[in-house]
Amino acid sequence: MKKVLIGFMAIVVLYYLLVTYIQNPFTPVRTLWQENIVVADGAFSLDTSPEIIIVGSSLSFRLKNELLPYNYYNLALSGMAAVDGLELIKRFELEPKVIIIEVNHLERPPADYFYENYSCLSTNLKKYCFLFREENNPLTNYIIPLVSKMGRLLLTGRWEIYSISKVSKGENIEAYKKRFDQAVCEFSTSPDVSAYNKNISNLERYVDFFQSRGVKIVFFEMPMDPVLTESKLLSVNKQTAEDLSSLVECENADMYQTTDGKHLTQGSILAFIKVLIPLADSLKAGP
Amino acid sequence: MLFNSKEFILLVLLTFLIYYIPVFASVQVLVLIVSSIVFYAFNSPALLYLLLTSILMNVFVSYILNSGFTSRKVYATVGVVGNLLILVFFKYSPLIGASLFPGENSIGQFLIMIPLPIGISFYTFQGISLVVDSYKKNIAFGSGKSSFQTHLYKTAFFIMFFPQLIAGPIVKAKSFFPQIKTKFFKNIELDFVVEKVVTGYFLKVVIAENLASYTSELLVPEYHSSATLLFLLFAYSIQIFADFAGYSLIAIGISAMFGYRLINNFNFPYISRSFSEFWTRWHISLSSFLKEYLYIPLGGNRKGNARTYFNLFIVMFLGGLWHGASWTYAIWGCYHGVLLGAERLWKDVQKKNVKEKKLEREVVVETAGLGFRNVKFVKTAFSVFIVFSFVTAGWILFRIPTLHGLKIFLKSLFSNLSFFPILNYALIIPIIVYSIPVLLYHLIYLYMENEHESADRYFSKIKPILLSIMLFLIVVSQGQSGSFIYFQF
Repeated sequence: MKKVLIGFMAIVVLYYLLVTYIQNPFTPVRTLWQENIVVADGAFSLDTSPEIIIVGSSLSFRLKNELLPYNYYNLALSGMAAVDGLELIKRFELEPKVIIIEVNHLERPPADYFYENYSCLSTNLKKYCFLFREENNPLTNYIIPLVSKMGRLLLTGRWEIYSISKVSKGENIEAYKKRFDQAVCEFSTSPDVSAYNKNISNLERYVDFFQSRGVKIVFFEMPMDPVLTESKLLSVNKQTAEDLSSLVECENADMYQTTDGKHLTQGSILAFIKVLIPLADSLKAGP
Repeated sequence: MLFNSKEFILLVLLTFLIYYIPVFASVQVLVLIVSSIVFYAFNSPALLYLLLTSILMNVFVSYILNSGFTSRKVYATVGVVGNLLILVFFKYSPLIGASLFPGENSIGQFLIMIPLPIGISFYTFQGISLVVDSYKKNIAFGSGKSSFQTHLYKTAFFIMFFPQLIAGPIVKAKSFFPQIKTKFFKNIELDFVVEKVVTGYFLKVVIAENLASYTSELLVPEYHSSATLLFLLFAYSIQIFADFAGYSLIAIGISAMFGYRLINNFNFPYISRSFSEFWTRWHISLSSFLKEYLYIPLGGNRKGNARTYFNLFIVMFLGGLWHGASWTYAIWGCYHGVLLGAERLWKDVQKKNVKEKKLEREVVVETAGLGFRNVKFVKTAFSVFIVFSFVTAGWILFRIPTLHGLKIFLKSLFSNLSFFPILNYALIIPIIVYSIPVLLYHLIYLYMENEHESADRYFSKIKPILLSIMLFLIVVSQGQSGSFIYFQF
């Protein structure tokens, strides 16, 4: 038992030195879940609360924090809903001036299981011991990328087949088509009324909570393929957003490119950020 | 309450502190009963009523069986049937409802709505073990005036003991009851506890939970090539082992903290050289339960060949159905029943020609110019590969427990042969990384089995280092938190 504890402490110290003093030569390989944890961990690790926070699903998740100005933070979570981001803002006691809520997937229920990672104890542990944050996971930061690199050397040529750029260039039309059809199916289905109302009333509670604290709430529409923009689900969501607060609709949706009908390509993300930032800044400055 | 939740860790620590305070030495069992109630009722207190009903029924039946009443066989039968009825009603009503009363039928709807109480498959089996062992006079409860009280006390503890309440290992009454006595802090085997708990949590939170993020892709097989699907199936095989063996190790370790030894539930199953060997290494507590309380009473292999095959098949069919109220679990059980039957048939045929075979093998070895040891190794490796492949193929029925989903999976497996990429490396590489510890875990054992002394010495030196690394990864590399796969059973 003693040996195990001493060994554990030694590994912690060595790993601390590695993370602190040696720059990681690899790009981390993470699952969507792990990416979400990294985003959430980042939110409570900030020195000062961001002025503008974005919440939403995987559509706005691609507006990476590295691409946004310093006073912004994107708390959109892949596969989850806006309410999850709102819950985290509340839990981490962040004090933004404006919260921008993505309207495209308002219908999703909250992912309660995600918050289990953020009990008081674990949040504080992660806040003060950065080694325990997901961004420092040794397996995703070092081991998997290292094995990937070795594998890449052995299997050159077939590696990048799933990368966004190649899919958008149409090199994997079959995969794109399957995903696009799935997106069309998802957005053309009317949501179950009782479940939808339950989720919206939940969202409404969060909106009221933040508005009562003087936070400005604005809904915005992420660009998607024009076929999806006209869909039933999005119309219902937009109407809900207008009822709850103000809505900024997407203009010129056809100028953006997607990887599967609903997620923007890297180029389109940059283009959309250029539209979004001035708009959000004006909201912050406004009455 | 999940083993990987903070509430559970807090409960264990609190119980541990109180348990070993000398003042509470005489009520240690009561302390564990209270903790078990908190553990079980934490998420849904209503389920406690059923557990208590089951306990009371078993208390009365086993008390009667131990009190010298006549018609013991009748009471034993009532006890076994009572346990089975509870299991069938709560576990299989939805399946019966959906199969016999489809559509809008009100009986069907009622049956489908009956909830599945967590751990029911495990505690009802322990109840059966208690009744049967009492009937066979394998256990002693004490005597005199306080005997009913003692009986109630011990039986409640035996069925409720929280480390094994929800997902086993299934403990037999005759091996547990002799252990019920006052425990002392100085007798805790700390190294044993640390080894089991750390290995268990490592298997669960680092291996199984991380692999779960990838194996969920099996639910959308149409997006993957055949080769990727096979790889995902391999990953699921590793995941289900890590998940359940991890749970069992944690249960064994925590029980040892309180001075109780539970049966080892997994003994490196993926190095099995035959299907019958696999079932002596996988979920050992269930296989030995089924063997002792079902296979042998049915006649085992003592009533001729045909009856042996029938017994094997029926035991595996029921064992499959025990895992869940879905026909896919029954198919899984039948699949293993057929494999065991085929293997037995193959061995029978081989036995008849054993002399000729022996001569033949010697000639082959000599002609090939290989040492016998090499031939043995190749033969073992081949057998292990075959058994592992068939067992892994069967796990798909656990990951996709609907016939419709299974159909889509099989269709994709045989039609996505040309779909690019052949392998999705973004999935494959992490799967390899997370699978390596489980493969090493088995290989180290295999090595130790052959090179016993030197391996033992070497391994005892590196064990603390391995445990330290595992402990570190438990803290920094946890996967997506989820319940244990076997909880649903």
